[in-house]
Amino acid sequence: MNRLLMLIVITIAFASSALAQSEHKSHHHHTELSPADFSKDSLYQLESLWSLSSGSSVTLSSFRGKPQIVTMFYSTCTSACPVLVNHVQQIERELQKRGVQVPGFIFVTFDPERDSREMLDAYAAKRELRSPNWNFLRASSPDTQELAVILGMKYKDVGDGVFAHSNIITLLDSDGRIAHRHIGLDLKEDDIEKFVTALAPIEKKK
Amino acid sequence: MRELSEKKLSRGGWLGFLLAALLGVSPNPVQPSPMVKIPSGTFTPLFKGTRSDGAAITVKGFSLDQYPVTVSEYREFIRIHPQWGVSRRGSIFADAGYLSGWSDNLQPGAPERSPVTNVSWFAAKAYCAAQGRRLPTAAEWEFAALASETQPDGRSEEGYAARILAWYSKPTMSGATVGSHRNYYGVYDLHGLIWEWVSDFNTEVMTGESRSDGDIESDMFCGAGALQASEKSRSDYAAFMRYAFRGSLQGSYTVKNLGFRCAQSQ
Repeated sequence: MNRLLMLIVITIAFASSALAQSEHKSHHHHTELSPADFSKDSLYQLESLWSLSSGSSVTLSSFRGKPQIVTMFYSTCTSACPVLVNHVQQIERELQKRGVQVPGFIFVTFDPERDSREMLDAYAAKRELRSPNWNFLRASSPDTQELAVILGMKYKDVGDGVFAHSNIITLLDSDGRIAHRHIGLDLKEDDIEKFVTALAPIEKKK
Repeated sequence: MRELSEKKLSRGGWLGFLLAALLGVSPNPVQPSPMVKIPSGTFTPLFKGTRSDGAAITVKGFSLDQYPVTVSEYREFIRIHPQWGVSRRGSIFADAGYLSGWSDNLQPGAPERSPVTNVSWFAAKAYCAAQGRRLPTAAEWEFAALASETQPDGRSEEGYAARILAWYSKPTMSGATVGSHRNYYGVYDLHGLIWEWVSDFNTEVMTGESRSDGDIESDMFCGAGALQASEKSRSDYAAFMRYAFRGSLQGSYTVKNLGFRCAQSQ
């Protein structure tokens, strides 16, 4: 009896490992990489799902292949966030002017409770940030916090819909590794220069 | 829970184990570590962090691990979740000091019952999630840690603050085991052994008059004025040190005397 059971178990074990292998192979036909395929220092290892304003849900790794500038904000913020958005636009203009490859731009809300997908969409519309190169992302609070921690962001709900928060603009290379971070609400010419130089070697590698 | 561990594995249990081992899924033989119920209460934390002035905050009743997570418990976690082994060193989830002192084959180099340290916030969070638990919030941790040996709020007790501060001023003892400092609730080692991660460490920041202009942190923050220390508890220097310490951390940091314990909502 025991021997029979053992045989069954072994058969199941072999069958399932063979199945797993064939599954693995078929995955490789697609160019899509799973989070486990990224290097140790890549943000694209994160498995969290993010909703886009289009309504689809993606992992951050879907942004691979092109550098991205990531900024955390919230749409009802009236003081620091509009400045941050302006800064990112300024960086975009400057890169375009210099003929440097323009990265993608990702804005992540750290107030997913108030910032619905519709709110983010309305925000983008109102501020004319509708370029396909600009994405507004939203995830659950724990996933949002995890990303914030990786980006070195601090934020706190101080009541009345107001957050105290760090102001950080992060440049990711095409594999999701942090290539440059700009901290603070001041963006001077040489700060923009740092984005240009950080993007230049990324471009050369291609 | 304890009854379970004392029950011998039945024949069916062994078959299940064999089946699981052959299929490459290991059963979880680890018994959940004991927890202590902390009843609801209110207190005024050092940093209110809200705009409502002078208001105490309410901490809802929750359960807290009786002891900090130990080296042996953590090794068991890695056995089941090998991605959290020493190969995680130098990743976005843990800096190069992760599990410092542990060998590649998971020899921790510290006594089994000593608290696991040199673990990042991501690691601590993953450990608790694997137990169906979570990290305590700073408010929960601080609330439980108000307790002295004899009362829920030991702050007015003669010598209480001095004892904690005396410990902070001592260099970290390596090799000390959990279970020596019991508080009013029956929770051990909130003070006197290690510092501990909390879930929302990244909401804590030092600003205000003490570290003002030119400081990168104040430059990073908008609305920082709301985060100044509350008058009432300004005398609680030990809490001040903890807030300052947490404010200086990043999620991937690992520190020799920084460990954790888990919590659970009731």
